[in-house]
Amino acid sequence: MNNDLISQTAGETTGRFIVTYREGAHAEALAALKKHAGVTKAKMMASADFGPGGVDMAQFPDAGGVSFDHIGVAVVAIDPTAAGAMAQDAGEDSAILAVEPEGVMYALSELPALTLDYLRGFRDAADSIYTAASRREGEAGGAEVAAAFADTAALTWGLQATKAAMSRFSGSGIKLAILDTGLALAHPDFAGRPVVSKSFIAGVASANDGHGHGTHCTGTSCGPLKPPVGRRYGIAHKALIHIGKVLSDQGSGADGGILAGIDWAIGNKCAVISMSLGANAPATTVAYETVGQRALNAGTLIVAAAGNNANRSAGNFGFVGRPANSRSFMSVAAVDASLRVANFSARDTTQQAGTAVDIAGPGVAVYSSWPMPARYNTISGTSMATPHVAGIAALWAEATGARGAALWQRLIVNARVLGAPVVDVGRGLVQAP
Amino acid sequence: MAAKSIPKKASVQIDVVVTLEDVHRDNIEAVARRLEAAGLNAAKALKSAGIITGSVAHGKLEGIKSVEGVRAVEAAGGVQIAPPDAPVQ
Repeated sequence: MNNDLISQTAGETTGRFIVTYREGAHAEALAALKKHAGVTKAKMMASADFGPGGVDMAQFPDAGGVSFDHIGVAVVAIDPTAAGAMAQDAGEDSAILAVEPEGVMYALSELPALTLDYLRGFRDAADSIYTAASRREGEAGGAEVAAAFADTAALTWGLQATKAAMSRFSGSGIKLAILDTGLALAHPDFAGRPVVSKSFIAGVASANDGHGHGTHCTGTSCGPLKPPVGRRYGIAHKALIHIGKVLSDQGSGADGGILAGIDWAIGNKCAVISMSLGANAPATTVAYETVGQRALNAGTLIVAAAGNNANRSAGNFGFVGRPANSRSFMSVAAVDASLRVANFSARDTTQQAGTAVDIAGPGVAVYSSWPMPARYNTISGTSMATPHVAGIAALWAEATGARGAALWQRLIVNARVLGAPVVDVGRGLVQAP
Repeated sequence: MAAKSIPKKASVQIDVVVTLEDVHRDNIEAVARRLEAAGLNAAKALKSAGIITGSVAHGKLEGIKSVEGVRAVEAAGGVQIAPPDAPVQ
């Protein structure tokens, strides 16, 4: 196994190894290097010794290494057998996270000058192949995955497809705001669960939900681990629920109330705001764009529905409306249980900067809570995909401590890549930690 | 029956969303007072967002836009979701 460490790596190597320390475990890691590979302190240069000018790599010792203290990584010239032994012990719980062979990189060669005409022709050819393939896929019902996900007696399909059901995180300690029609405050599935709520509808004192939409979204993002009846449908089951009623029971809301709701959630230090709402208007606004960025800077990630104005089977791809079309709002598309884009899910068609779809979530036939007496309901929409992303964002916030733009990054880099194009699903299907 | 007279455009009230310049966010109350003096009604300061909402007569819109500390003034819109019995929401 020891020499396999080198042969496992594709590409050129230098014979040296890169050792990554666990954060805060520099001293332990260096002790391990001494123990396994005989690299004593005398043989290790430290970047701290060199000051702002940086390490002079010409001084790299023949048998020893250099420790880059600011990033918690060392490059060491050690015996491959020793490297292999340390790699075996490496892992999440040890002082050394990884031992990897040092590879070699080269500057990328420049492409020959490509004319616009050539690029256009290439684009048109690719577009026509894609269109033809989509049509065929639509006719044949080709599945994105070998077998579609399905609700079981224990779990909704969405919790399986996003791996939320397998996560050991619960959103504990994380404040999650849902700005919507409110929550059915007497719903039995939320009995005993602390809820902070406020109405932003003029003349309406309570955030109680008289529509259903808000209850459904709250259920998906924050529903209980073990519902008293039926399958589990909720993700961040220990998140601190903040309900902002910014939509009336008739489902309408004004920008003033919506912005007041966002302001309230930021002021309450919510790590995530879920907004399953939008206008059928392609224009972005300075207000939402600015507020979204201020929210990120303050440690609040806003997740919004891309919109349901598409009818793809009729050739209409819709567009992403305000406020999801702000680049500072994470905009969410809907996929079905075969991980195909939902018929109604809006595509980025205006192609202005920032109007893109960022990520996708389960949004077809989503089972969640509903006001009594119905108690549960199964509906579809980018409104349903959005709270999946919001709940999973709360899990990532708990798991990593990340907030704002850093939390955005965690969601994006861990998304499951789908075959559908970026304009439809962004980086892919959201995945839980 | 006498027809109700059409209001003059200048007097029609518009709901607006005022975005503050970043450097003026800490003085949001002062900016709100200046906006009120320039004709903004029912001014509501949203501190964490750096936004002031209210309504203004159409004729005073330009005056609002040039108040110190204002980055943008936009008409407030609205959103509408599908009814509860719709399969797609």
